[in-house]
Amino acid sequence: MAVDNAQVREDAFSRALVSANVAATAAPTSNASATLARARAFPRAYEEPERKWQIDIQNQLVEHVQMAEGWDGYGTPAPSMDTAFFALLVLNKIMRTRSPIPQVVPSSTGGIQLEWHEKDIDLELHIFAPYQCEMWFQDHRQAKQPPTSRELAADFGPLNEPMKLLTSR
Amino acid sequence: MPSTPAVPRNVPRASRPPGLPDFTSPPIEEVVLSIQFASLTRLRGPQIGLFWKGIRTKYPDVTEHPPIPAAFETFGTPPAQVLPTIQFLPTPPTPRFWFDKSGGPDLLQIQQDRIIHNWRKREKDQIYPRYESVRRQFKSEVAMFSKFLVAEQLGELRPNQCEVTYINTIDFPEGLDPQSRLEEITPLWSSRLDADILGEFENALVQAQFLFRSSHDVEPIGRIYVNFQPAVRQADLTPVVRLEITTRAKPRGETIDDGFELLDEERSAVVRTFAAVTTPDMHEAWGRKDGRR
Repeated sequence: MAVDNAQVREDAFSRALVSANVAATAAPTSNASATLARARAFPRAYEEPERKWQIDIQNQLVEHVQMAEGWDGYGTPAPSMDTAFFALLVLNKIMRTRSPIPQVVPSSTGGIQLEWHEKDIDLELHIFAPYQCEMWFQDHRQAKQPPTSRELAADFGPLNEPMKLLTSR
Repeated sequence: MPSTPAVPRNVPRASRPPGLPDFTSPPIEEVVLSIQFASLTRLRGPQIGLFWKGIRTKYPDVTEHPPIPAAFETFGTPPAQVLPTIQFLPTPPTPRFWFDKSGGPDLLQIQQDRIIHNWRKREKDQIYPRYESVRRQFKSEVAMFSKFLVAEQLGELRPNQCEVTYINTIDFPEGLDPQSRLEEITPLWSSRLDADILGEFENALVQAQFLFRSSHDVEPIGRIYVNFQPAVRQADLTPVVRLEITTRAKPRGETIDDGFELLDEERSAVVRTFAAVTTPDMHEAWGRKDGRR
């Protein structure tokens, strides 16, 4: 029984790792009942290999998280792991195939700034903490349109159009 | 999702809310309450050991497991294709600790950014003590943990996502295979398939997700995930259908009371969802007693 339980626990955790978007991450232990072996027969579309930009940006984020407090000479704290994770999560949701890769910069508020300055587009996303973000966007080919600046919390829909432009132009 | 009556903020919920679907013999197997909070990087193995000292009578066993990645519900963009992970740290990541008692139904899990309580059905005839009881235990553990963090100057527990998961094991009497009769279990699945072309239906994995709004918010604050999957009960190798329902959302504020207020709403959503994604025939078999079908 103990061996069986261990097997189920391992299965449940593996599943949580690969599918946290569609299943619980609260680590159910499934003590008595189920083995997921049969469910594994169903391939999942979102189990894609990690893309190179994700690894590059992940490495940059980890470097920023590890910075010492006062890294800028003004006592600014390093970005927290939560903020870095949230930045990666948001990027993961807005980046498309062939989207340009942003610059990743630690900010003077202890947050993380993601910046795109190319193709006559300026797009900046400042992530202060999870659910505390601010975007700034300007398309220089649309001279009549003023720059857009807005706060974002959980809804990142306003980033779709700028990202589409950045990707397709 | 049906709207729920507003509950005064920060009032502990001691009893079952009225109007919630209720069953005499629900097929519940496991209940998981989880609070994710802003990461406490100074909380490492030695500190966790100190905390264990205070709960060792109740949880004499401790084991280490890989930490669960953080999860944040966001909206307005297509679903992400790959779950982000950050794990390239120079020091080994602090594990997730299980505090357990052999054969006991309760399990407490703690990692740098989560505290989790699992209630697990251990024996066939074991009665589910109900959410209110599990919540009461979890609340006491969270309070103790929070007090410990302050005393050890490790930081403050600031919830940013709360999660309720109910895991059910659905079987049929007399050896009937529930996996091939999924349409009798859930209205999410129809068996209107051409057997001449496809052959005999064996089983299916059905996943669905719904936006979750609290009684306070117009905009969604999280999601409800429903997952039917074929499984095998270890005790007797009987084919079963495992139904897992999770609600995950962001609390209104960053206090522990905010977290528990959200857990209460998420529990109601999980129970209502359970009733909505299962058929009246199954409700009858489980002894639905709130008078609705």
